[in-house]
Amino acid sequence: MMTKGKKTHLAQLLGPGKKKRTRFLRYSIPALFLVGCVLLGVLIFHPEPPMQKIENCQQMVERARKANAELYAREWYLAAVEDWDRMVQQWRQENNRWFFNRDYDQIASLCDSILKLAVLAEAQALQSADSLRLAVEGEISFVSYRIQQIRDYSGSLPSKHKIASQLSQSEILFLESKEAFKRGDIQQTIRKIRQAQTLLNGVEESLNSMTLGYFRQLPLWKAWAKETVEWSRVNKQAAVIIDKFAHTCLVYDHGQLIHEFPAELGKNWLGAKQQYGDSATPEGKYAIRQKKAGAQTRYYKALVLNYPNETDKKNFQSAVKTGRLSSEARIGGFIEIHGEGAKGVDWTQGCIALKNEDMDRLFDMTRVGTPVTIVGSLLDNPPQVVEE
Amino acid sequence: MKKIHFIFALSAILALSLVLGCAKAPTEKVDAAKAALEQAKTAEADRYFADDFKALNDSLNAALVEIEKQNSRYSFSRKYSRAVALLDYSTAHAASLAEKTAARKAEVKAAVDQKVIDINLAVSEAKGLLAKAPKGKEGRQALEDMKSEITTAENTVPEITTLVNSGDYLSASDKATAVYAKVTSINDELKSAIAKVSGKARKSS
Repeated sequence: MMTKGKKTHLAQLLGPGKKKRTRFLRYSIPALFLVGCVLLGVLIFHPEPPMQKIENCQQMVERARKANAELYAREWYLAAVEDWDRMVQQWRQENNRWFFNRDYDQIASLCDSILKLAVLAEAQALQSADSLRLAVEGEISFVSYRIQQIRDYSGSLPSKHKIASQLSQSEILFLESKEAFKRGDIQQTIRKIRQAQTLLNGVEESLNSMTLGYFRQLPLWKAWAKETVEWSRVNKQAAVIIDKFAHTCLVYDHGQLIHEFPAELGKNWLGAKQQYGDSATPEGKYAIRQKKAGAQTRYYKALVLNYPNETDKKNFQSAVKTGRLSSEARIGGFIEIHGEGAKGVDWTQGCIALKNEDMDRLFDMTRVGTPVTIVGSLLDNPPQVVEE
Repeated sequence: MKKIHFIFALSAILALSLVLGCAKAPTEKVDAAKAALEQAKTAEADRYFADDFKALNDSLNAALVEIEKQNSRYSFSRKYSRAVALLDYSTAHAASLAEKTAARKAEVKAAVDQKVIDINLAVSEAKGLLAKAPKGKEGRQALEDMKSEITTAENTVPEITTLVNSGDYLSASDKATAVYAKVTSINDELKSAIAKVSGKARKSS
């Protein structure tokens, strides 16, 4: 009864002949209301992106970047950045969908992963930066020490231009590494210090091969020295030992060491004398053949040795025969212990030069026939370039 | 009837204005900021002003996040003003950082050029000192080694020039400083050896 009355009232409102419109409105208003409710529901309950997580990730990645994680925790950092890029792309894709069709779950899980990776990257970067800095500082100190050791060691050996030049280059690289370290460029510091180390390895190898080859005869030299001292003791006379490596002239009397004079040698003293003109000081057991003084010598006073002895001659002939020396090579001679030394450099053509005062003493203590033994070294073991 | 038409028309205008009136993402500004940052990187801002460059990267990232944050909203409620401000900041600062980098590079280059002049002067001085240096007890071998070191230092100067020409001014600066330090240390050593000898000579006279 009530519905009928209402219909009549609506029909009256719309006017006559509008029954169709009345029916349309009767269905469309509730339908619009329903659609409105659904839209409102969607508006209220649609999925939201995990903003808090995203912002946390962003801050964490920034912190990792600030801690130089790209340098010190590269793996973690790059993984975090890769996930971040993936997350932003995914987010963009979701934003392009209809809002009721968006799904931010994957973004949330990517955020969790980014956060973990960035935290790890920052922590590792901070730790690595400290330890790397310490390690690099240690390496700088070690290289500095190594340069000094090699410099000291090579200073006692015949000057070799190539070695001196390599050593100098490595020192420049070392100084460059220090500069890079000062301005905080750890990568460049490491690069330069490694280059310096490589050059130093080459220098060390050259020096070692020079000295190790040289020290092969050490047992023989020790035996010669022992025999010479024993001869001095038994014959109660003076005997002379020249230690080339130590650059000393040792004078024994009655088997006792009584003098130790600094000596200068041939320019190319490291190694045995091979032939005339090689500026090497020979190694062997000799004796004084002649004593010269005044106008007889240019070098204040001189004790001429009986070089070459029989062994030298045999070695020379064998070297020529086997082709190690040219057939035109000559064995040389006139090896002396003379004065005019103390020049601070190995400068002779193979002789042994002493200070004039020392030469006076030696001259007085010796006679023709006094044994003079020249040895490469009397050390117990071959020296190492850099001691451990 | 007129009333119904009016309601529908009003709804249509409202819906249209909502759609047309939505803010649009500042894609052009994003591209501009990215290009400015790339330019700063090409200028080596990441090498000369690493921290500033990182900060710029962070602000670009923040802007991108802000844009997506707004994109997640309904089109009628999007506001890109914060993103635009961040992008404008990034673009402007990237440009000024590129300029600052160029100025710093010019400074470093000028310093390297000056250092090369200083090295050449120091090498000439070293050669003069070598001629005057005592050759006696003080060690002729040491002098030989110094001569070799000076030659090595002199031969390094073209390497510095190569680095400068390739635009790697920082490495050039490191090398120039190292070479200069090496040559001056040799000069100091020579000077002190010469001074010792002249001191002795004065005493004996």
